[in-house]
Amino acid sequence: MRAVVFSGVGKGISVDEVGTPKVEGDHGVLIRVRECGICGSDLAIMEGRHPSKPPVILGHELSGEVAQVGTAVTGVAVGDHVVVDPNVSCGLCQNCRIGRRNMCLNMIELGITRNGAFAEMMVAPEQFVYKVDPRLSWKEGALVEPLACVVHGFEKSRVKPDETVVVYGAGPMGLLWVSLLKRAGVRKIFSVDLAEKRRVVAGRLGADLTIDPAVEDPVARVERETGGMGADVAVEMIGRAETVESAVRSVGAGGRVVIMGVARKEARAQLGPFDMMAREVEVLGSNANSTGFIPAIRLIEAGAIPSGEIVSHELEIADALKGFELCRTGQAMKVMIRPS
Amino acid sequence: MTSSTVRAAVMDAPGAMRLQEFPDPEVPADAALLDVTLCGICGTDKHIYKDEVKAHPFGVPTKFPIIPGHEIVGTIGKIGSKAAKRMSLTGEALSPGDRVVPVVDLRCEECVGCKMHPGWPSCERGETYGWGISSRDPPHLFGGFAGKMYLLPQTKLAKVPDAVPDGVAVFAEVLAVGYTSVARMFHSLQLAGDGSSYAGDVVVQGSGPLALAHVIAAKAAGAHRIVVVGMPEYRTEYLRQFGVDLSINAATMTREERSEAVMHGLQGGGADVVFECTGDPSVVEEGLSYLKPFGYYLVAGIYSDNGKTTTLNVQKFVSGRYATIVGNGGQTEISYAQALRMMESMAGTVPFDKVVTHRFPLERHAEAMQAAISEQSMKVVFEPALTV
Repeated sequence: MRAVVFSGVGKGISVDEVGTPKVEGDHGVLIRVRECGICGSDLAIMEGRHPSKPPVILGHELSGEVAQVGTAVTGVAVGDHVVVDPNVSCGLCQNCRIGRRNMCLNMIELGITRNGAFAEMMVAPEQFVYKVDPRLSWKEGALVEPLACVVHGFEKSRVKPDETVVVYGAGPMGLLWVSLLKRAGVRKIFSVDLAEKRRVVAGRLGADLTIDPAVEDPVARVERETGGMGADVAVEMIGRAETVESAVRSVGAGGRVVIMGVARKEARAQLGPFDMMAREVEVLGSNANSTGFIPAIRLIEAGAIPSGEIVSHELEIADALKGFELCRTGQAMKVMIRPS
Repeated sequence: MTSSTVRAAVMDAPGAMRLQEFPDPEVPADAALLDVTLCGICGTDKHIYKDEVKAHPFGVPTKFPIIPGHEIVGTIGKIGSKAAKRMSLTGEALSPGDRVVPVVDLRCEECVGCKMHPGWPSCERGETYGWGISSRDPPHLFGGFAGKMYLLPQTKLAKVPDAVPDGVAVFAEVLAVGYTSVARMFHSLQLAGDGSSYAGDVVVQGSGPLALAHVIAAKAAGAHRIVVVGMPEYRTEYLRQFGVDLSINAATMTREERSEAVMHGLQGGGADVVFECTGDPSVVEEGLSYLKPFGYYLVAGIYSDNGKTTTLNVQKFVSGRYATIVGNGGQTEISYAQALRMMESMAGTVPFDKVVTHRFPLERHAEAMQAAISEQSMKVVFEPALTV
């Protein structure tokens, strides 16, 4: 079968002919991958900003159908439409046992440290395979994983309906945030992005105001728009120290800042401890998801996410490298690869 | 009514209502006088009228004689200079001619209840327009079933957006209860602690105006499926206009049949949140039975103590299913402003103009109370300017 293989930092990715995987163990599930999204993390892996174990088949935002199951599998059957939580946690370490399975000490990340979904077939343990409504498109199914991460951040933010939220970044993840906030009926949503194309989509998905940070300081604009009160929640989806700083300065009294953008490990942000103390600002990291899959599936099944606005390309696997380039250069929104 | 008197419907005792003329009061610098445009009849008014109230929240009795009515929209007639600066809920200066909805619960800001729970109807003095301040004491006009209402210095007012007509704004006090309930349940509606419920499924017990307020507020918060279990047919049918997935008349079914219908309406999964909006404690166990494990049951309808209690299998429906029961007696102050904002922003999707079904002049108070009690109505309101 053909697969997108990452050979190491500096060596890059290639579409190679590789062996088809087999069901592993009694609880293994073999999945025919129908669609898999290119994630910002995939680019981070290629640049060495996110650890991985090359050579490895990338791809962790997938939908597909069950092709074969291990002897002990009961939750899914051949032909079921499924999505996969790529974070295969051990369930045994201290973090797993206290409900922080997204920070499992023995984590196996499908598509990052073990072969993933930019391939015709992949394997996953039954426990991490979720059945979805067969009426969903493959594209919608492949949005479950990124949405599950947004659900996790949304929960951490403790946003309430009368609150105002500013979202830094209007890429696919920022747009999922805007969609979710709109669905939840929060008071006001501000979306900040340099790209006009993205701001326009954010507006269509429900942002009450979009801000171009090249034209005006988003912190000052948010302050003005909130009558000097500041936002209640700021979400940082970009992964830059500067935008983290802006996010922290955008919130008012009791504000929460959720950092989901993947910054360089050595990045350092300048924070004003006095203002943070005086305003009781909370800064919250949000890493992947722990219990976000079922909520995300329900949201997608409820039609809460306009996938047509968020997915810009659906490419055959032969064009995978072109897809990665579209993402790297910011020309695309979410790019889906169709391996089968 | 002459210019020097104000007409009001006064209740001297349960069931005993009459019209009375009061002197048009002077307005000191820290108070205001409201020209009442519309005032709704609340379930609480009906319960007081029918002698079904032993006490209101925190054990406060009805302070007969009263001018009932606390679901009010009106126009500021007179406002003192200090009040003009202080009464707005959202901080803007107020002036005569402004359309406003008064916050009905007054706060002294001095007692432990006020200090511990900012913005909630938590005042130990229990002063509430419509039943908690007697019309015996000058300046008498402490309820909405009247041509004018006197606004005490600690009153807060929510300004009505221009786009929201009076016939809609009169529902703000009720919608604010729905909003407050949903705000308390927000992350449960969205997402239970175990992450099992997003875009939550909701059951509303009851089909009157309070139930409607919860339906609208739950919709605004992104609820997925909403099922109403109420009665009578007039009301369960009426609520179908407001985008509920299923509305069933409880009177026509056994508990087992209702349960089956609700589960079918929720496609088998049970509810993440159940809102009690009936005023009847006997529905609590059935309501809890609709919940998924780890679900939330919010009691909003049982506001006044009517002396009724209920039997509940605690293990089967509470501890054994890890349920949480939350009480909600009313609404936060800021929720009035939020309710009015919802009326503006959801105007395209919610037929707010259909909430009020009957309007009566004060003279026809007996007929109005009967229309509300009959439940062949949604919201019944008094319109003091109407002539017989």
